[in-house]
Amino acid sequence: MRSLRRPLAAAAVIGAAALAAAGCGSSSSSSSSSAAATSTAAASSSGGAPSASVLGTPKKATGSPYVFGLINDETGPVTFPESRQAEIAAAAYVNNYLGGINGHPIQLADCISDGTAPTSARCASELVAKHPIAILGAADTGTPGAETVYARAGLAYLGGVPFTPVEQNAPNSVQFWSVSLGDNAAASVYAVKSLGVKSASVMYFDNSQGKVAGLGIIPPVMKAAGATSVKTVGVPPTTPDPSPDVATAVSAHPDAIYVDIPNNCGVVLKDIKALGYSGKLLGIDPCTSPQAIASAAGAAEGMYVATAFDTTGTQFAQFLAAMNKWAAPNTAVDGISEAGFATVINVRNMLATIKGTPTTKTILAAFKAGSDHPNFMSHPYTCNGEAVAKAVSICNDYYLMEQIKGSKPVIANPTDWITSKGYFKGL
Amino acid sequence: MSSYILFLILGLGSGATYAILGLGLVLKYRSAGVVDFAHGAIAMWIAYVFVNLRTSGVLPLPLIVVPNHINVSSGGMDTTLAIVISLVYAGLLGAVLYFLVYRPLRFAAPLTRICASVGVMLAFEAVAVLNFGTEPKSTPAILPTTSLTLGGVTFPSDRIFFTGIVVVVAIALSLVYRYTRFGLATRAGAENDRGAALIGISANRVAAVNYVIATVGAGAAGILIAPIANLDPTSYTLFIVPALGVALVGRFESFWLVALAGILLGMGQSEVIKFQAMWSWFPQGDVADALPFILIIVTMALRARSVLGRGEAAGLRNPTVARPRNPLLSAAFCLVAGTVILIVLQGSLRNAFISSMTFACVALSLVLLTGYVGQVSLAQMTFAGVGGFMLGHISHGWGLGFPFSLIAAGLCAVPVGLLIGLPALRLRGVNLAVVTLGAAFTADAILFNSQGFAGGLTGLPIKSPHLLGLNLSIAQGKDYPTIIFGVMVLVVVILMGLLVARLRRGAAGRMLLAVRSNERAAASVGINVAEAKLMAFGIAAFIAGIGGALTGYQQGTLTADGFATFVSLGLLAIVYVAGIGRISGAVFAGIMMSSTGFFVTFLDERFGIGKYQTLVAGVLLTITAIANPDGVMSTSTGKGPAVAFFKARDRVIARFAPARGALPAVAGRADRPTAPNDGSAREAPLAEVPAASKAPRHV
Repeated sequence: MRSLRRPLAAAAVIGAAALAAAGCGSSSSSSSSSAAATSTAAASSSGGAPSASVLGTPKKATGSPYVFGLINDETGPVTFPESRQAEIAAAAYVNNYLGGINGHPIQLADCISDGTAPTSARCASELVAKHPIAILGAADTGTPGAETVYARAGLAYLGGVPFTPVEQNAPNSVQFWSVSLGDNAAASVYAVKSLGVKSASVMYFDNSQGKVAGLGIIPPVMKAAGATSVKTVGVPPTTPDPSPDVATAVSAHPDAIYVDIPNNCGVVLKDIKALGYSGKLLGIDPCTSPQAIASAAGAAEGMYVATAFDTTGTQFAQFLAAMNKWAAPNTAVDGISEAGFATVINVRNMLATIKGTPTTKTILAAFKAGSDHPNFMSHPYTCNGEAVAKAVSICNDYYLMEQIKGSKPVIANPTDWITSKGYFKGL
Repeated sequence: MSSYILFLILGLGSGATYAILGLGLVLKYRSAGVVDFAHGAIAMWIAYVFVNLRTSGVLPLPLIVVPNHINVSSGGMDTTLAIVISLVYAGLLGAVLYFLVYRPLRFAAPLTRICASVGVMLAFEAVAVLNFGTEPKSTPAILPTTSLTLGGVTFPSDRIFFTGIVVVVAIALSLVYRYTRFGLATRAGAENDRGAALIGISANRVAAVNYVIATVGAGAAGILIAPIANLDPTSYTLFIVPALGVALVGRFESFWLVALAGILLGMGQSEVIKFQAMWSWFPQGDVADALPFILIIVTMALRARSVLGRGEAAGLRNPTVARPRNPLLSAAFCLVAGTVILIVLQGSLRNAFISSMTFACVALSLVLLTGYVGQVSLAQMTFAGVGGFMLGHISHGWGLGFPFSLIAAGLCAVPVGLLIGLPALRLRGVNLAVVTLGAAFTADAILFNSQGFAGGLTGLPIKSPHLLGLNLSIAQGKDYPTIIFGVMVLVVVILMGLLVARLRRGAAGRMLLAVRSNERAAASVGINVAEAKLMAFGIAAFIAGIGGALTGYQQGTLTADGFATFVSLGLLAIVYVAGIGRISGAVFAGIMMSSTGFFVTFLDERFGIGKYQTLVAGVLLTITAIANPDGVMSTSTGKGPAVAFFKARDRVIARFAPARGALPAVAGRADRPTAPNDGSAREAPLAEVPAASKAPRHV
């Protein structure tokens, strides 16, 4: 056993260090976790951080806090730490500048998931035990596991990034935009109707999530809009080098290639160019990250992407100012953080219209009453179950098209909201 | 024709990746005797080191919170210098890992080393997620990317250069390990470390040097892969499955064969993609993903007899096995204690306790299969998934009610178990582990990725259980999770435990242990070895299927992510370090080590370990494997947590049933290895010899 002692002692030191780290606050770790993100709140505003004056006059919330639960994926194969950071920043903005919700500050009770249904279900049980008045959606691919728990506990699920059909259809769910459903459908319509695409190759990530968009949304919508030929090419998550798949897509000589690959977008774009393709390109939000654009080595230029958020107005400046002030340093600014921030603001604005302490019943009734509610950084929403076919919880199906120019996504016309209404028949 | 050639050339990128990772795996196996599942994670880490050095002049350290990087230069760094520093870093990392993790385990069973490597893999992935995030990183090309035209086909040249480097490395390794003194010493140490020591070769030193070389190789692989693939914390680990396949083709020995197999596999996968696009009659779907498994199966069918194991004493060791002394009384104790716990706990902790029980059920299947029969399976979560999803189909489509739907779901996993168990008729140990991993990988890609079978993103709804008008569902109005559901799960898991105990205590158990100990000896006394192995695979699949179905009942809607390939790897590691030869090991694993189980949930609620959970799990798994190579629940040493637990249990039972006097006062007697009749007689004496006296004297 003597031979084991030294290594064991050293291992124990490492273990103790890890455990000690586990007990430390999240801010420093979040800082390190996002150190790699090159698109940050500070960096996103050309000419430096926006002035804090865009936030308005301070107005503190002093009442008893309203607790909101949230689950966010920050461990596991795909993480979105920026979503929780954006909601933290938005809650601080609401509590310090908007007077909270009728004077009640927002308090976030969070749980970190690895994106699998069992872990998210465990998180949901933990959150329910903290008696929140509602759950704020963040970025969690394990929501199918958690939603069952929320429904059983009678809690509303509000906003965030609706990755799966579960939160897109749950009766207790309210969604302010659609991700991977409405945006892909809108971009498909735009490709055919505005860019004149008649034939396309659709490259999709060959897992459950990728198949929904790659097979179930983009091809049927393109065909419904008038495309004559749509070839689909699945890229397995386990492929080290996607160039054979790219060659398959290119070999069809399409008018456009639609790259619906969140994890490997830059490399795929680079391969598309290397194999001599020079037609139109369409992509998804992760393809517009600085990392993906850099990885594409110039091949992303001209690519079109649909986005739910207007990054040209005052609200975007407020978002950036709040992120600079309250989010962890170097937090990524992207569609995920925009969704997280806007979710908190939308929920605050709607709950402020409810008299007395909000309940699940009054919360859902407030969202479902009326039409064209203001949607922070996005198109107004109406929760009548008709925005997107067979996704009754989604309240808004309008998007802006941005194009990569000079290695940056640029919105050509911030008033030209497009929709797939009439072309997308549902999953 | 030219397009077929193009696809062959484009397949070189993936092929070279498999080959270079496979070469590293072979080196590590021959040196440290470990099938290193962390190899991809180490390659990933070094790739991050290189990218950070190259782009920002920062040297990342595998630490969190505390200063985790060193500023080497302001701004970026020259590519060559960044490569050199990264490879030196890799060498140092290899040395640290060897002396910290693998050297202490050089006489442990191969499975213990695999568990430690899984811990290292989890830890490095977790640190990478925390420090770099999961957004893929990019790096400019290292090799020339100019377009080449050959026979009318245009393609990027970097794949050709990458493949050329791999071929040169393979040839160099082959020559070094065949003709140099160091290579001969390595081979001698791998064949017989004690014999090598007798002729003056320090097998330990040779192994350390080899491990360092292999880690540098992993680093080189990571750096070369980064420009063509996706640099993120988990993708490189996925490449390990095909890399293991090609390492198996090379018998974990031949470098040139590994390189050739890797390159051909990549080209084959690429050509399959071409065939799928060209011919409508060609099988569509994830055929390319299944190719590594097909390669493994064909290799095993043709060359199983020549797949080598390392010539070491540890390779013969199996984990110790306990013989349940009084299963009925233990079952009654568990039923009472479990019910009390379910009543006392509420909300999330009660739910977590139920998750612990479903996990324990799947873990029981490993106790039977790996603990009792010695068959290393990395496909248990596949069996569980089949059971779970079939419950969804049965409960909705077949009109079968509880408990018949549950039993039928378990039975549906049996044919899958028999199918995956077929290679076990010719294979054992690590080779079987690789085959079952390949099978799980394929099932993941084809079965669980299927919308029809697994329900896709939405998952598959599972009908709540009802029995004779009694509502057993987990949610009844505001009551969630219900006690009655927890008791139902408890009863089912106890029944599965009794089944395993019954098998262990009866003639079948003696037969299984005989097979585990020595197949030829077992056959010589009339035991049908093939039948015994397949029976074990079938019953284990049934138990795992029941576990998956219980998970389905608990979740209400079952999704595929809980049954992914590497979940099985984590399961084996957890159950092994908990004590794979004991039913109590399965229970311990479920309660204390499952990521959705009681203890982890408790820690998360109290201390918010959330985002550090994987890191803590990886570090603790490695430390536990080193400190308890025979499992936490092993009582063979007469001390430790298991002994304390069993003493406490005996005291409680003695207090409430003093007249029975059924259990011995000292649990170590009850659970210690039963060498004379369990077939593990050869291992038992080894386990009792102090480690230092087992070690060869290195000169």
